[in-house]
Amino acid sequence: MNQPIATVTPPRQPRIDRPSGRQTAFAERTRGTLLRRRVVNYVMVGLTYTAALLATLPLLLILWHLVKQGATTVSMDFFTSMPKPVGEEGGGMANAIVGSLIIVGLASAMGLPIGVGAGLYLAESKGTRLATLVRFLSDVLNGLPSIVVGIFAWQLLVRPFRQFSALAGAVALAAMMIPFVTRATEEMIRLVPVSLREAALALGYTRWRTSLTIVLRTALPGIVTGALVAIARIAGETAPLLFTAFGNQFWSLKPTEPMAALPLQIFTYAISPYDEWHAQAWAGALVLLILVLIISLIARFVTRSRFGPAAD
Amino acid sequence: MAVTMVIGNRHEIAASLFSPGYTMASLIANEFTEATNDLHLSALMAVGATLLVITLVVNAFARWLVWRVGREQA
Repeated sequence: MNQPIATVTPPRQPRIDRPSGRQTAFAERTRGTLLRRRVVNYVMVGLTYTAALLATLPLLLILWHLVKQGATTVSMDFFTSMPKPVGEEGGGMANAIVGSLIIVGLASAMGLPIGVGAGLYLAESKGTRLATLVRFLSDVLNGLPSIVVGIFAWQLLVRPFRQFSALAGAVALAAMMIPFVTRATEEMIRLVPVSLREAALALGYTRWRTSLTIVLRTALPGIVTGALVAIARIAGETAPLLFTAFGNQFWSLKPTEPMAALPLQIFTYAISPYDEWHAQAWAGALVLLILVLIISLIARFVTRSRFGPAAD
Repeated sequence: MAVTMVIGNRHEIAASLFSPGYTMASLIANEFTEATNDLHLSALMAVGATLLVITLVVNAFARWLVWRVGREQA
């Protein structure tokens, strides 16, 4: 009866991790590789940082140049007075700023409803052949050079009436805006959870009411963002307006007549041989850039306020 | 338009990347307002149509790529 009262287990020795034969062999094999991997990792991370910097560099350079060249010309006068004839200092782009607002406003009034409607259709009936076709054609139109859109609008609305018009310019801009808004709307509606749609249907909503009051309503902040980005994009377009709105050195508020627009005015002034006009072009470009930046900021703000921090 | 202002707008195929050239879009932008006869106009329209076809082909190619990758994953 020499049984111990309690089995005393010796304190566990900390186990020394000795690599097994297989592990040593593996380490031998990969020693060079590990170093190489580290180096490749650092190089690649460095390259992506450089690329990120280079991606923002154009904007910073443009901003710097515009402020340097244009800031002295921008004054209250620039927004309120008309262009001066060549040789006279000063003057402004009041007509072009107002013209741009009118043309972009008209284009949005035409383009946004069509774009949102088409986007809703694409999202609601994704599998159909027509939807695939519309999606493909939207992508084509989205990538179409803006000058081609310009000659299309010219052929459609300028040639038959023998008159350049702001309306034709607005149609051209709307044509550029529609595919972008369509695709943005479609993507945003796709993000709406299916459960939400099912809940609405389960409560007895008809399909069209579900689409319109539940799905579209939920996706609205995203759609608004897409619309604002589209507006910011067309606000700076020159090419579609060259043969449609045509530009105007005088006050022009009738949509059926040639109208001045900020990008057109900048283009005309920039390629002119006069120093005073160059200064005006820089100032106009600065104003245009600031307008576009403001629209983009509003777009960010709209997304943020409803969904919490912007998802980026 | 950005290209029109810097490319030089010269009607020739230059051997050097540093000499002036032309793009289809800037050709239309520069000549369209000055095109007075129908032949000139329709030539510019043809340039526009060519651009359209190029866009169509590139987009179709992109679609095809996406479709192929999607099929491989499925």
